Amino acid sequence: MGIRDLGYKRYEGALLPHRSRYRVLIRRALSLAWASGLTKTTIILGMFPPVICGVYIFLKHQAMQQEVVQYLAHRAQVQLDDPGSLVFTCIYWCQIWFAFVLSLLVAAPAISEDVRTGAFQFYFARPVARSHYLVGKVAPAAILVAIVTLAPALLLALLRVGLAQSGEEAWRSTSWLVGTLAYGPIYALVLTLPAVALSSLGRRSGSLQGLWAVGFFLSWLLGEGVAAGADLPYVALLSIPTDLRLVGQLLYGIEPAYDLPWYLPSLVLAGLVVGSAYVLVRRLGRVEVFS
Amino acid sequence: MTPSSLGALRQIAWMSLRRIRRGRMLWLSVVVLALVVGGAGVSLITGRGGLDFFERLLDLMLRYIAPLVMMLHASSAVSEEVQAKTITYLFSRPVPRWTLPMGKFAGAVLLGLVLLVCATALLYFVTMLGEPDALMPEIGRLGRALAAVALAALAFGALATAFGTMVTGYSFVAALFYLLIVEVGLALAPGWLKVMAMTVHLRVVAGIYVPSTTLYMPDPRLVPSISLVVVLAETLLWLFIALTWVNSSEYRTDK
Amino acid sequence: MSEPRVVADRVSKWYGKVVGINDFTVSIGPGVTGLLGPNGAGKSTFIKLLVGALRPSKGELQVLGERVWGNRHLLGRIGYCPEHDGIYEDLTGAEFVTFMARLAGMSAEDAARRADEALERLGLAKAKDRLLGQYSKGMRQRAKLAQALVHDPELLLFDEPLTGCDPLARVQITQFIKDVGQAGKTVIVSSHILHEIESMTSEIVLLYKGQVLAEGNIYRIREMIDEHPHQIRIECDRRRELGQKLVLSQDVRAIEFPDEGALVLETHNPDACYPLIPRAALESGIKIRSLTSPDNNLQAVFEYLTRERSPEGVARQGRAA
Repeated sequence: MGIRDLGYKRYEGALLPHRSRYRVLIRRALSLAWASGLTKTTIILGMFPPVICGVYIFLKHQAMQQEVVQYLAHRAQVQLDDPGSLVFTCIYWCQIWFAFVLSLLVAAPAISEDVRTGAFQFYFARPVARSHYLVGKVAPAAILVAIVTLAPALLLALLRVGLAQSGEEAWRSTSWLVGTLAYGPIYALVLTLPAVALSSLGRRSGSLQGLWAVGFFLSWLLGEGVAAGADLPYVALLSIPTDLRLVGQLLYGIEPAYDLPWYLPSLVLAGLVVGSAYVLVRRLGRVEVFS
Repeated sequence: MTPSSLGALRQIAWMSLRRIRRGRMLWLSVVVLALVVGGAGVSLITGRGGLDFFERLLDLMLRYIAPLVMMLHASSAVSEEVQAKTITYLFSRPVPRWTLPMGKFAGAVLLGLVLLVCATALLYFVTMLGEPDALMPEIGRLGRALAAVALAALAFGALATAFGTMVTGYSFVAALFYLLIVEVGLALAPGWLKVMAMTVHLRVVAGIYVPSTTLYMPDPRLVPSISLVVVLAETLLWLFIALTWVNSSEYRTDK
Repeated sequence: MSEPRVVADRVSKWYGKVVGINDFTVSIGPGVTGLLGPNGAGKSTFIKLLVGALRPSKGELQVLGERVWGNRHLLGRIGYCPEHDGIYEDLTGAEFVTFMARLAGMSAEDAARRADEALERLGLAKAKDRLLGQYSKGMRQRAKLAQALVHDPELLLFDEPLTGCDPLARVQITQFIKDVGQAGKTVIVSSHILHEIESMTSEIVLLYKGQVLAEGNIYRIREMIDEHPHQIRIECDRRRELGQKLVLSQDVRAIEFPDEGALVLETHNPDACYPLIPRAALESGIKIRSLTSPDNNLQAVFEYLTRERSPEGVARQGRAA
């Protein structure tokens, strides 16, 4: 009664369903991320390699259609690779750097910033579930990573299909499309979920970004370094980028870099994703304690 | 009552070291370097070792590990103080502003030097267990390697400090960006483009730089003394940038 | 008359398009001076200009007779307690205050001794070896105050020093500030809570939307607000009878009876009215229970002055013109 006397009026309008929280949180996180100059720069710069790869795919395809090129390759006993294999080269070797920087900028400080600023009390004093919050943190980072990986790779794969001279060639080329559709989400998830999980472990975003960078690069260096140096290919499984590479090569039908059972890299990545999700769920369950 | 500039610098460096010791970054660096040495040990078990192997690992150290370790400690030079708002206390004291980044640089470099030099020495002795006869005769190579690693600590410490002073938001990411594009990217570029990368000069100092020809462009033949001067000059340039920037910036903490 | 410790001559500071303070001209002397105003008035901006954290966009600012920006030697004579709660969480209280003392130029032994004294003075002697990250808000505030005065500065700048403090800490810190002012230091305290400032000092600088509304003694400022007559509230029996007597005086502008057992008198000349009241009561045999001036305080001064500057006040003045 006292509040109403001061002119307070109960809200009578429509309330959106609970699932709209996902949209609200994701949109908010995306607009925050986009406000950063570094994020914008990374995304814009990340568009250049796919454009270059696209031009190269086109030129290579055109050259390979020339009978003289085919003749020379046959004479020299050189296997002409389908230019669609450049889709994998682009999404992995070119775009991984931009995807990694985006995961550093957006995913690694996602939760630690909220811990530092005490934002949980605002989130969870509203009808916002832990799942809303979790998706609201992971999805924006995954979307941004997908913009620089999945989207350009899809366009390149479609380009390859579009360049096909016959229906049979087009059908064969769809393997690049299918591979991209399967690989893109895995890529985005692997580069974002562990970073967000790491972000939930502290409040200093700088330190956590450093931790993620070190974990990512060091595992790569050591995994591939020891695997090559000591001739122990199984050690390469410790490297997140190497596992991504092996899974990508499997999906695109490319010869793998290491002679390992096909399921092992997938298992490692699956373990990483599941482990990260577990850490996130556990930490968010205790948010009133550590915030 | 005004402290001397050197006294203030010493105080800030000392406090910076004390805080690093209490934080997690020190242990992260130790783990990183231990893993590198451990990886070398594992390779030894499978029959790899010797001077060639040491030089390959040294290449990794100079290109990636040393820059990463120094960035972990030095890239938060000023940015950490701004984000925690503790810069208010430092800049309300009668100390020259440049002592803040320089003090942080000194603390980070001291720590980085100890870690990287010890790790490199350990790496040498571990890998040379695969070629024990050459351990003492090739000790001069260790000397060059240690000099290169020490230079790397200085150079990348200065670079990280400059980024930590200029970029108060994501200083680590900005420095990493620079590392990936310039140091890693240009070092792989053909021809004379690569002289812009400090890692190339550090490899020259270490004696592991091997010029080749890529895309019909031959790599430059570089001399250790000139590379040493280039690295020192670039270090001083980064420090100059950091000091000039901090003297003229306002560093608002109310954003 | 003492030399002013702070002299601002048409100082302005803007952040891009946002004006922090505009055309500030103020002169602050020794003792405790309250910097008063609502949020966004420019209090913190002015204090940051005084400590050299910001550079004035325009105008001249002198602190202790010297310019501030780039003058690091002057900072040894200033102690600053910031508004924010940022602090070195991985240092102990003693380490933090000692470090600040060393940066002020003290030797190691002196710094440690003075840090212990400062912490003890602020009630942190037992907690000095605990990490600052483990301190409560009030303890952190006291640690910040300790680092501000450890080097015995001439000028102390306290930006919202009572923020986050419990009632006991507020009383202690308020008394501490008054003691420091009485010891001869120049203390500038900013706050948006009027009664806090009133309990510390009667010398104020009143800010509103980046400008100085008034400076000086609260009561003198009140007297100068001519368009608002003073109010005197009298609680007594037979209030109407007393009112009849008082209304005959030419110094009494109006009489109101706001509630049972009280009357409020409005006057432009309180000095003449105050002797009038007991005389009238005595002549009529009326018993006066209390005599107060509801608007002879900072709250009223602030409301009168800011009301005129608000959009409604400006519109009202326009209509009157």
